Amino acid sequence: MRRILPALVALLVGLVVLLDYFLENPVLDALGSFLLEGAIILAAFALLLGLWNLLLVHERKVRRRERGWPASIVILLSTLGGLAVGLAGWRSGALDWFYRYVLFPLEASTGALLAFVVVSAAVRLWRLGSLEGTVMLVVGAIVLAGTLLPQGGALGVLTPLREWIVSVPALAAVRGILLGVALGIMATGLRVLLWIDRPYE
Amino acid sequence: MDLLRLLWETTSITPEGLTALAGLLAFAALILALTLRASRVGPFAVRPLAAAERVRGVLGRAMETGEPLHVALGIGGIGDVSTADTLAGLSLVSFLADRGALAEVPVRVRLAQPTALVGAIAVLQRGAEVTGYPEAYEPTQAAFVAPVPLAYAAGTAEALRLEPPAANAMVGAFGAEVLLPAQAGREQPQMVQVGGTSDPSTLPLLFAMTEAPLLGEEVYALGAAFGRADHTGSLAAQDVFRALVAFGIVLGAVLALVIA
Amino acid sequence: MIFCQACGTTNREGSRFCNQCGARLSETADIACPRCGAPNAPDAPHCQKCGLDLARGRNDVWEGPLPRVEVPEEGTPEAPEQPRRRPEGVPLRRRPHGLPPWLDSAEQPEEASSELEAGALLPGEGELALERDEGEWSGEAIPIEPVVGVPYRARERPEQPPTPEEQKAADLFAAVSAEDVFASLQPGAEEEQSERAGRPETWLRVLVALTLLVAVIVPVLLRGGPLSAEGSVPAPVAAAARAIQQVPPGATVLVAFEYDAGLAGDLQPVAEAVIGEFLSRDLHILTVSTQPEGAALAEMALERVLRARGDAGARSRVVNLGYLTGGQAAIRALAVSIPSVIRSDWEGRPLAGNPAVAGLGGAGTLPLVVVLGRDLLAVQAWIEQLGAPFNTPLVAGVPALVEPALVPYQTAGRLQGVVGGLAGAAAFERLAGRPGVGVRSLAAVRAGAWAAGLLAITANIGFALGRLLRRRGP
Repeated sequence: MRRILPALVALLVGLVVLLDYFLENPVLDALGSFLLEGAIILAAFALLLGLWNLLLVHERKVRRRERGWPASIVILLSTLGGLAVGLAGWRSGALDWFYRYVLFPLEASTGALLAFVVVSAAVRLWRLGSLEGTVMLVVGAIVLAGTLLPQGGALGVLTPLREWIVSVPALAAVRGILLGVALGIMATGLRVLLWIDRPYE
Repeated sequence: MDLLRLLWETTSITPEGLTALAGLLAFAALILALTLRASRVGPFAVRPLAAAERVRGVLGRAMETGEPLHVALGIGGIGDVSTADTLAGLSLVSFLADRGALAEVPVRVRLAQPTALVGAIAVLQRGAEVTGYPEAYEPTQAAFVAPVPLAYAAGTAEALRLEPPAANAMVGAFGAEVLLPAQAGREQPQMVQVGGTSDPSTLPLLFAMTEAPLLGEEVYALGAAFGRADHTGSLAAQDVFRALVAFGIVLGAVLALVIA
Repeated sequence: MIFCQACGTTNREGSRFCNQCGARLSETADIACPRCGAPNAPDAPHCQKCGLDLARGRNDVWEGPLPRVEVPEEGTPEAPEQPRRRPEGVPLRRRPHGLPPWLDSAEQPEEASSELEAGALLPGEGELALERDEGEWSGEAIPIEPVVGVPYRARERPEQPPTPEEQKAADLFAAVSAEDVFASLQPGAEEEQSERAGRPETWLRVLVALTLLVAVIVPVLLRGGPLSAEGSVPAPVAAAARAIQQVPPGATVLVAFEYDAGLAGDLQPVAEAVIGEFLSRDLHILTVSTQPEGAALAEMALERVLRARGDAGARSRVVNLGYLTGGQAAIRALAVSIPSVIRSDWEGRPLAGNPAVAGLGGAGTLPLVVVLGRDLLAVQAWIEQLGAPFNTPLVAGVPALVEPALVPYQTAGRLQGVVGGLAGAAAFERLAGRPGVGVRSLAAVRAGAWAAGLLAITANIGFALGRLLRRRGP
């Protein structure tokens, strides 16, 4: 019973939501909406679990003086501080100020780092020593040239070439990947529904 | 009977919905049939995945050096659009959890969604219990870093620098932020780095930064690559359907040309 | 075998001189028994020690019984190390793999054995002791005898020339062992090691950082310059603008903020351009997010647009529904009915009585939904839960990196248009006739793209040339 009950619940819930997606029926619609709203509430409570795990991991790091423990102190203080400010006055401007003037600039700066890392990876493409790296470099150069260079004269051929690359081989590759991914997602979901995978046990 | 009749009369379905449902049922039946065959007769042959072979290889090294193994599950969770990617990452965690518990190799999992955290804790705990070494599981093996992608990536990158593992596997839903932990991994020359995601726009980044990328649907073949006989059944079903779709596309293109 | 009478060394039959001392071997020297090696007279019919028939031949197989093998008892120093065993009282649990219970007709044992898949054992571990039924062992010698015989001392083989394969292998070994082992210490070797390690050299990292910085800052300081010249409007952006123009005035539209602050540089200009266009067409706007930061980003975008328009009264036409947990489940629930999922806005004000949401059903009934997504998955979720089942027109705003991945959805009609990154925002602003952040930043974006492209191409060509020169040698 201990093993059958979770499997049964997973199967029934999955079937109801799946059938609700395809069929129009008032009972199914009501059940499906109820289950979806339950999922929303569960996800919100899962955030609390995430918070507990965060505090546990970093508290242990500080207690054991593991490498990088000063950063863990900062994380603990900022998490608890943000939580306290949010709970005390979540409609006040304090949280908003914290987001706009601390979190937002920090994240935007980290996002800017991505540009640097992308270029660092691009300058090493040929060092991969593979045909794929060379193709990536050449195609990237053509697409960039087709986008940035003026379209007249001898360079006029680059823009149609760029358009062709984006709308034929790149599109075909993306479609192929998405097709395979879609089948993979379906198979993963069906394995759970058919009890072949039982991650809840 | 009256209830069934009432249900029948109040239920409707669009033609597209009917086609999709029929296709889904056919796919489910094929998965069942091929999984039965794989479990009873023998698994289907699976071509080796470079990432899976690398992970197996580095496992032996980790046993000797005592270095941990690291899995980054990405920014997806369970119950959202990236559930399948996260489950694929968890199949890798499951493989490593068993062997890590047996061989006393620590397995660290970092994730960005609490729903994925629940799954990771369950998998790690079960791996330790099933192999008979429940004391091998620690609650801090799975670490929730941050729900925001860039913060997650930065936190994971820093963790890789502070405690370099023998291998870093980034399998799950990732965007461009995967570059940050990937760059941190590349700075450790002895670290084996593999990665995979289903997002086509992230694949070129993983290709440039990892030793063995998993491209698109290869992520979902990890379970089969690690020896799950039942997963080879669903993989074979995917192959059949993919062949059918490809045949349909080619046929449609030829017909369109002929008619035009 | 012949014994040398001077030093006693055994020599091959037919030898005339001793291999050891060089003494001439007598034809009457003793011969060694092929089995036990004892010296015997050359004409002895049987060995004086073991009785072998010397006249019959030299290739007889050992025929006697083998000596019994004594295996050390458990507990002695030679006993093998005991395998790791499951601690007492720890139950085994069945792995939930394989066939589902409703298909598997085999009985499920209470305590099933562990099911590590075939071929997946740890290297060097051998089989798990958990499953082995270690029976009792009496400690006696193994009561078997091998079926193969043990040949007596082997003969020396006549020298044979190597086969071509053996010669090839020997030549290769000689070539490899003659290689210069100090080649790795040559100049340039460190660079190669660094390349393999994946660490870009410090000077290259500094060059990349400085180049990008200069490329982006200079156009900002020059307030544009030649790089801010207008280009053609991409077709997906034009399609997005057309989709927005088809929305009847006074209708309600939804804008989903599905990105975080890290991508705000790419997507906030898109958000501001789209919201500005909605406000200019007197539409009611709902904003929602299934990402934690989306609600705050929506507020920031709204404030900037209202400040730029100088029209504070337009704020009453905008409702920020805030952050909704649950991912796809939340999107689906919103598609069915907004009021049943969200009862108050982001600031806690009840939605009932708000003219922007009066009479509103689900998001599936809206004339247009704009999804500002950080990646393909974010847009895919809205297409799958809202666009496809309810046929709701969708327009996507995504970073430039993600734009190519959405082309299949556009051609399939699931997306009415795509605005990609800062360049897309600039094109949209030009179409709408309201230049904003996108147009002002276009020059910096183009300069950065130029710098990145030229740097990547130059560095790779330089690396290839350097490697070619190193291979040719000094």
